[in-house]
Amino acid sequence: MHEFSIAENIIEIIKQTVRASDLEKISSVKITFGKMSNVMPEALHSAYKLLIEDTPLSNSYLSLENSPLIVKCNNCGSIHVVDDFIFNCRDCSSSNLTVDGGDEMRISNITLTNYQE
Amino acid sequence: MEIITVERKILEKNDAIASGLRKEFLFRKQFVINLLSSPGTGKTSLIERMAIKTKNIFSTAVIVGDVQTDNDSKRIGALNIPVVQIVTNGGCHLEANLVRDAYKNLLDLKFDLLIIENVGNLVCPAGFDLGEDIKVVLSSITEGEDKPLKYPVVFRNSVALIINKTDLQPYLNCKASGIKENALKVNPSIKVFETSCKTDEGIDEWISWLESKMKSK
Repeated sequence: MHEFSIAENIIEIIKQTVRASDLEKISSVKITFGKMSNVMPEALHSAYKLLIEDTPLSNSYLSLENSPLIVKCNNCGSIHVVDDFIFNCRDCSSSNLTVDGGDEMRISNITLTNYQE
Repeated sequence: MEIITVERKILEKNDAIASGLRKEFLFRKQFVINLLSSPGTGKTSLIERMAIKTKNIFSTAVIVGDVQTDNDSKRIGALNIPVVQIVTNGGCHLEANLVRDAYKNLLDLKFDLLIIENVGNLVCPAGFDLGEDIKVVLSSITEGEDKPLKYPVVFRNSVALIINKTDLQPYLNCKASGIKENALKVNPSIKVFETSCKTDEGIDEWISWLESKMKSK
């Protein structure tokens, strides 16, 4: 399950970004991922939860945002979202498409909340 | 509340190692294939046939990944091909750091083509850059015609598709033409080959295309 590897990488980047003493203040980590990244949200949540247990990150969660797979048809100029991985223009059926987005997988931001004791 | 902007790729560490490997392969003039498929389509058999047919044309080395056993590396090694086995012990895909460590065993050797036989899996390996020149997906007649639609990412990310075990077409409902049609829906520019490691059908065409890719690197 490659979501485990992805969660490990997320945690490593969090630790490079936030001071060790502030890790427990992290409430959420925003992840943006495209359709082509092959990420199963539930699996990623589970893997992350498992890895942060009993660590300073144990109060944090992943906030997952999908970025759409957008294509531009170089034949008729149509721009639309592809949901089904069929790469033919829905207006003119051309396969001459430029693909934008869809395969990204990145950490967008980290939210820290000051916890009151 | 504080929001820290990060905007970093999650797999940046893997990508950095892959980028380093890519430079190394280029420096050593080695063409690298990342061979992807589900288990049992004939990856190792294809490599065996390629090794025999190309021994007087160019030299090959192989890095093979499996969850368990070194069965594949033993088969390939029997043909006097340099081969390194990665045993992942549960890992469902290869990552660049594993390939980097395996490649250290091949540094003293001269070869033209490196085949990375990935772990048999049509899902997870698709997203991990190993520093290769091309990803090639292997499918087979025994898998059914809809695999490209069910696993679009690996077919989308591959430059070539090899449809193997064509010798079994008379006995099955699945036809190579059906797999090809579906593959072209998700990747209109994918190059398709139809092969049999039993009869050698299509192997020469695949090797010929591969040679032209190697020469143009």
